[in-house]
Amino acid sequence: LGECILHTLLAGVTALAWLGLGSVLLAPLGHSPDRMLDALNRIGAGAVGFALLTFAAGWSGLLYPAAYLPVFGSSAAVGLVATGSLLRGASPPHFRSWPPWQLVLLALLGFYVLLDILSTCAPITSPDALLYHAADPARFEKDHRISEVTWNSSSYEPFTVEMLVLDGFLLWDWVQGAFAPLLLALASLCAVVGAASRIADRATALLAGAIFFAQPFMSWEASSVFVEPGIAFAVSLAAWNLFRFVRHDELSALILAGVFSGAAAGMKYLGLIAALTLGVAAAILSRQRLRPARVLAFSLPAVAVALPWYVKNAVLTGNPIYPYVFGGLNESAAAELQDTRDMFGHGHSPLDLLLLPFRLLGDAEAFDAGEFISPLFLIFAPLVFLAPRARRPAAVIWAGVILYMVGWFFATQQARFLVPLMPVLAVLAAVGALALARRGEVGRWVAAGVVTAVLATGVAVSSVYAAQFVPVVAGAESRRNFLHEKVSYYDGVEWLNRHLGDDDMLLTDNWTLLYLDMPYITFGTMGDLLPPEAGPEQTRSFVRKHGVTHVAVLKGHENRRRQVGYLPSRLLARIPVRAVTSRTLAELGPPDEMLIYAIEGST
Amino acid sequence: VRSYALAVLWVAIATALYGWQMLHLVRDIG
Repeated sequence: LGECILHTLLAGVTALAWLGLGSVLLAPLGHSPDRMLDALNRIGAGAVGFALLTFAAGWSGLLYPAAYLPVFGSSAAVGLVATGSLLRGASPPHFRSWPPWQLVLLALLGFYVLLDILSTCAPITSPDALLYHAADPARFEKDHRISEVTWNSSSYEPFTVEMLVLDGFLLWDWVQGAFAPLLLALASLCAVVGAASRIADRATALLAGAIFFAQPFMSWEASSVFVEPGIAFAVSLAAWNLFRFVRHDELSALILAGVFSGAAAGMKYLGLIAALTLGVAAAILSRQRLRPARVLAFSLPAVAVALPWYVKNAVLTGNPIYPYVFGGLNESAAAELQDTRDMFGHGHSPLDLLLLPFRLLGDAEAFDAGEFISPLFLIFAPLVFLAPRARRPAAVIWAGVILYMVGWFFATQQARFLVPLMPVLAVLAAVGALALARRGEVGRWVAAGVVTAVLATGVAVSSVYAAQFVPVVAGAESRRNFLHEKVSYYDGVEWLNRHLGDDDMLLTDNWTLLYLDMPYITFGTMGDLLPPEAGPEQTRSFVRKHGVTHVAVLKGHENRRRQVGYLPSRLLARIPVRAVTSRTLAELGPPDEMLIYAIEGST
Repeated sequence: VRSYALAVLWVAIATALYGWQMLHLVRDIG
């Protein structure tokens, strides 16, 4: 638990460092008159600044704590001074004057923050993090440089958040890296609350914050080394700055909206779609003031911030958005990638589109954990039209939301990819719920009853999720035992770590890469490097090219076992292993074996 | 008045759908 507290304190210093660097970067733009927006703008700009610095340092082979810590320390010192000036003259909130239900919402948010910190303090076990969100930064840290991760096409996505995870690794350890996405989630919570308080009032702000953050889905997102909390932060800051531009005609706010739209596009291809949607909404909202200079004020910073990631892909693969649109994957990998994307949801017909809202509420498991998304977004966001003053802007915002949803519906129906919409929908839903409550007695009881019931359900589900991490964080369970329970095929990973060293090169079809200590390569997450149907010649040349000394494949993967048969190999071990199909429910897949071979004649 | 009634109806339907989903979730866990 002491370590957890130390991690949390260091996360606080990280936020100060982001604030410090952001203060320096945004100094030419001057201060926003809105102090809270000003602080968040600086934190956001600082985070993007650190990510791009790490990206540049990585390609220059400078990923050493000795290079990172001085920048981190001096930025944190600037951040401390900036905090002093931001807080000067600010009056503390008078909680005694708040109605009890608002205090309950505030306490609920505090509870979720603690729950998410606790979950983040446990060793990293989320499958996508083990495959690349944490595994790739860990590899870069070990090599002291960024290199192309050819076997996983997802590694070509823009990696701003992964760079911040890498910063955490340089600062201390893997858990510290996992705090970066949590910090971004907390920052997006502040942005949602802040923006809603400016658009409406404190009641709306607290309710919007609870709808956005007090849900099991966000606990999972914030504590699993995922990228979406970062996109949510960037989108919410872009939207808040756009709101300021539309209301006050501040050019600096428009520039910042561009910066954060570009930041979203620099976090994942999904963020690019969110940024384009924001651009369209911005153009419609400010159509009467649309001039070429203003279009440039938004789009130039957006392009500048996002560009490095797309240029890197163009240089490495010839396709700036590899492996999409312009291709680049082999045929079977491209087909498997498409199959994986089509696997989620209920279908793509017009009827499916019509049924989408109802399925998201009542049958959302097929959307990949969609059942853990709060229903309050969908229940109350349409009710925003009950508030007369909100109708016109809400119509434009809803048009943007629907545009994004249609894109999501036809691309890949994964619930996670709806997170960029959540900040905006949370504000709409809070305005809608309060509009219903203010329309009459029945509306008040219905709104209060539904919000209370949903938030209470969320607390129960989120507590069940977080409970699995309590023993290991509290020191009542060993790290090794925890990893055995939560990480797929961990017995095999342990065997490999015991018997292989830095001079070996492992080829594996296992996706649990983070905890492998030796150099490794995979066949490709989708068979990107060596397709499953590849024959003897291709297999042998692949193994030769990469200097493979050992192969570890699952017994159930017959194509890979056939390919091992083409090689001069000797079976070293058969390790009984299990896949973890649900960490929370401790569900395991059927018994399998990891077959480990030595390649004869390899050195 | 009509939009108010429609809003209450939508909240009732949507909440019932979510309740149905949560019942299934609890049953699956059980």
